[in-house]
Parts: sequence; structure tokens; C-alpha cells
Amino acid sequence: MDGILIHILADVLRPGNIALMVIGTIIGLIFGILPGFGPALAIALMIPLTFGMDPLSGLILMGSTLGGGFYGGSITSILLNIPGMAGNIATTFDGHPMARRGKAGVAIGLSVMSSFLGGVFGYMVLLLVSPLLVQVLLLFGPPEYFMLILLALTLIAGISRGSLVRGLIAMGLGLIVAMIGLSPVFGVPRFSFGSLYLEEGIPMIPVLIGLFAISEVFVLVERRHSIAEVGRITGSVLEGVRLTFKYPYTVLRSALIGTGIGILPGAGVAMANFVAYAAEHSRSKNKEKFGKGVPEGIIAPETANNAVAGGSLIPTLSLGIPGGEASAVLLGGLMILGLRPGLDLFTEQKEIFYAFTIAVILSCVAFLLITILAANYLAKITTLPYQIVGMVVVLLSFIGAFAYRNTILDVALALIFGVIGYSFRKLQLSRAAFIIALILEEQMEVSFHQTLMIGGFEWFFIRPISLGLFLLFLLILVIPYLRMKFKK
Amino acid sequence: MKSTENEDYMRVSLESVFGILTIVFLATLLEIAVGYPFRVRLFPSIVLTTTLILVLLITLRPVMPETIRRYTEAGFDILSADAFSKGKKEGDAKPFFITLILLADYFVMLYFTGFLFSTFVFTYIFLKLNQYDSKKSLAYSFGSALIAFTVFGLLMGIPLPSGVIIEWMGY
Repeated sequence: MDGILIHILADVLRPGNIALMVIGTIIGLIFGILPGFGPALAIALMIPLTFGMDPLSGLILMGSTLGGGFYGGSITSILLNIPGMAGNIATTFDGHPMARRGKAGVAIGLSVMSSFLGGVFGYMVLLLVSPLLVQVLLLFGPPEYFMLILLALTLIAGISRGSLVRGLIAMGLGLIVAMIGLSPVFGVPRFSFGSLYLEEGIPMIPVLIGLFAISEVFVLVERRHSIAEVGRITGSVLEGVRLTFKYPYTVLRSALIGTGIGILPGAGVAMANFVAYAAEHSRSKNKEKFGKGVPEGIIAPETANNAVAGGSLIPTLSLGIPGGEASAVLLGGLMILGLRPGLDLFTEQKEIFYAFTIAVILSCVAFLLITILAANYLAKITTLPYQIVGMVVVLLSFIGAFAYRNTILDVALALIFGVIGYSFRKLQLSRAAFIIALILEEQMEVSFHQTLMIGGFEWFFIRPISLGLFLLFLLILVIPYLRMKFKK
Repeated sequence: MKSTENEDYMRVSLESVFGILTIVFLATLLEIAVGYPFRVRLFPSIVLTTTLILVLLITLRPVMPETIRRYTEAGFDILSADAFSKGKKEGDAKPFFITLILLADYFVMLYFTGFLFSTFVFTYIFLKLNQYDSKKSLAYSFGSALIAFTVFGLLMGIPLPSGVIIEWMGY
């Protein structure tokens, strides 16, 4: 194995491949930063370019685009309070308040270093212990998936700024909006009111753009102030990078959470950053400072979010089950380059597997260096006049919403959800719970019906993992009540 | 103090409007769901009913018993409510409505006149309405429309709305 690894590493480090890695990372970062674009679109655009390349160069280009794309969304989460993807939402909780205090550079430094560490950890796990983790993955059947999603959604509802009940309402509304369109199990149109547009279902990207980007424009014009509330930026990106190393246990815990949750197909990417954030909060001695810009509040979700990228590739590559939209596009691209998903990936196709994994690990180094060089300039966005920031966000939002499916109706949808997102903020309803519910509804409903069809209703409660997850769900529901009693 | 009272009043009013609209919306969907075959309606009915009960709890909070009222406001307190510190003007609904009308106009213009012209007009009005310098507004709106069109439309090949009038004219 060592001989193969060294041979591949030497090939990967050829000047031409390093150039491809830098290009892929920059393109991934740009697409990650643009609202509505994301790594999936970036990889999709890269696939045709790989046709004329040798397979290794193609793998490097796609791997580095994926790495850059996963990180790009963190920058807008911090600077503009607009998460690039669902995996970046928890970063807004402390990243943006820190930026508003004039410490955008420090926040970016914390985020890029923890993303780097999380990413490297996740991909190393992918490289070294994938075959073992696949066995864990196989323990999860439909009832476990249903309970896991229910538990994760309730946890996300609990993290929201308002009460648990408000978080659950947002979650319920997200699930309901996701039900519009064809039933994923029975293929029957639901709540579409005869509209062909609605029959296709409510697309996630325009909703994400509306809830987070357009609603932020409303807040900007209402506040009439640049993002940074203090006049000048203090602290540098290197300060943030150094600060990350003062929280080694936070990094390790969050990396383990990210990789562990990442191996669950579909659900992991959206969940991991919240679970890591909640775990860090529960252990912290400074609980009251969370949400105001604490380093742990950035390190935890960022580490988990990037560790999840490696974890999510385990089911993608070993079972052919993509962990998310980006993984699905990536899988298509990798198959064109000759990779066949399956357990023989770790034996018969190990050259391709190692080359790809080394490429994504090295892309973490590339995005770390590129972001460190650019961060202090990026941080200046927070001191730009609010009118300019608002104008650019609207332009990118409209372009992103339209480009998703080339229909003007998606722009209207983004606008509608912009108003909804603004109302949610005013009512302290969790936008995060809404969007994650929207993303996970299909898998939740499919798991629900599969359980009923295969084992009946009691299957939820007789399987030990499923029962354990259900008990945790009940515990989350009663904790606010117990806290209330205890406070009395 | 007066500002805080005003904001609380706004929030309660918004909450009531939201509550009533959501209850009507959920009840309508529940009524529609009843017409579906049992298996198709099972999951939606569970979610709709649960959400409806929770919205009712929040909306009817003032007339609920003390324990329920307090539970509806209880949470984990992970994120402090004041994390998004409020600016001087927050609570004033006028900028929101003006921006909303402007965005709706941009959408309509985008549909009829396409990306380049509508973006130029929208960005100029947006900057002017937000008291940005006239000459700079003109320069930025022209520059941003042109740069966005060149980068996204021409260089990256991302489709941008062409506008039905432009299409009708045969371009």
C-alpha cells in the first residue's frame, strides 16, 4: 500500500496537476461563495473539461473543486450571514456576530483552519478506515434513518433562537413545503393545485437563496449600516488560525462527529454542523456567550462540516449512494473517469481511490493557503456601504435562482421565501430548521413508509438503535420543560 | 423604552397575522389531504396536524393556562435572543416594504426586458432610494450590470433571463 501511495503522491505533485488543483480550488471557492451555485454546479461544469485529460488529472480537478466548494460557503456565512449550503448554516450563529464586531478576519482564520483540520481528518478516515465504517453504515435500516432524521430535526429546532415550540413549527412548515409535488413513495401529486411547476416539487436552492440571502437584504436596508458595526476591522486571519489550536478537543470532537454523521447517506451533510455546535455548547463553560461570536461556535460547525465531506464520500464511493447533491454529481464524474462504486474500490480499484483521496486532501492545503492570502481583503466586505452589499447580494441571488433551472418562476419563489425568511427572523422562527426539514423530508418519508411496509409500526420500537434514537428524541422534547421546572 | 414597546407590539401583531394565515393554510392542506388514499395522506396528515396544534398553541398563547404558556416559550437557550443586535432603525417597516416593491418590480422587468436593462434600472433605483450618491449610483449600476452580464452570461455561459420583449423582437 505504501509503495502505491508514494507513487501516486509523486504523480499528483507534478506541476501541471498542482496547477489544476489550484484552479479547481479557486473555482470551487468562487462557486461556494456565490449564493445558489455551490460545489455541485462547480463539479458539473468541470466534468466536460476532464474528458481530454488523463484520469488522474481529472480526479485532481474534481477533487479540488469539491474541497474548495465545500469551504466557499463558510466565507459568506461569516461575512454576509448567508450560508452557501445547508452545511454552513450553524457557522452563521457565531461567525457573523464576530464579523459584525469588526473581527471578520479572525472569524475567517478560525473557520479556514478548522475546515482544513476537519477536511484532512475526514479524508484520512476515508483513506484508512472506509471498509470498517461501511459495516457500521449497514446497521442502519429504514426505522433508524427515520428516527435519526426526526432526532436531528428536533435538535436543530432546539438550537434555534426562539423557543423549542417555535423551532418545531419551523420544522413542520419545512416538511410541509417539501411535501408539495409528487409523493416520493407513491408518485401521486400532492398539494400542487394543478400547477405543473408545483408538481415538480419546491426546489431547495431558490428557497435557500430567499430565506437567507434576500431576507438579509431586507435586514441591511432596515439597519442602514455596513455589516461591521464598529468602524474598523481588528484582528487578522493569522490570529484566527493561531486561535484554532487553543481548542484541540473542540476540533477533535467535531471532526469525529462530522465523519461519523457523514457516513449516513443524504442526512449527514445537513446535520453534522448543528450536532457539533450543540455538543460544543453543552460542554462549554461560557454557554451564555454562544451566538455572540465565540471561537468554539465557529470551530465546531466548520470542523464538522468539512469532516462530513470525507465521511459522505464513504457511502458514495463504496455503496454508490451519494451523500448529497455534490456527491451525486461527483459520482457521475468519477464513473466517467473509470471508477466503479462498490466494495472492490478498496482492493481492485485502489489506485483510482487513492489518487482521488490524495487530491482532495491536498486541495485542503490549497484552500487553506488561498484563503489565508485573500482573507484580509475579503474581510473588508464587512465595511463596504450597506447599499453596495445589498445590491450585489440581490444580483447574485437573482442570477443564482434563475441559473438553477433556467426558469423565472424560481426567481419569484426566491423572492417569496425572502419575505418568509424576513418574517421568520422577526418572529424568531428558525430558518435553519425550516430548510433542513425541507431537505430531509423526502428521505424521512421514504424511511417511514419503508418501515411500515417491511416490519410494521412496531419496527420503530423493537430495533435497539431505533428505540435509542426515539428515547433521545423524547428527551429533547422534555428538556425545556425540566429546565423550566428547575428554574422555578 | 418606547422603541422596545413599539417593537414588542409589532412582533405580537405580526405573530397574530402569521398565526391566522398559517392556521388557514394548514387547515386547507389538511382538508385536501383527507381526499388522498390512506397511505398517501398518512405522513402529510401527521405532520400537518402536529404543526397545526403547535401554531394554535403559539397563536392562542394569551388565553392558555400559565404552564402551557410558559412551555411554549421554553427552549434550550443555546443562542441568545439578542445575538443579532438591533440597529437604530430596526423595527421600522417602511424600508422593508419599499425594498419588497422594488424587488418585485425588478422581477417583472427581468421577465419583460431581460437581464441587462432591468439590472441597470434596478441597481440605480436601489442605490438612489438608499441615499447613495447620484453619480456613483449611475456608475455602479452601469458597471455592475455589465460586469455581471459579461462574467456570468458570456464567460461562464450561465443562462440569464433574455426577456420576452427582447425575444419577441427576435434577438
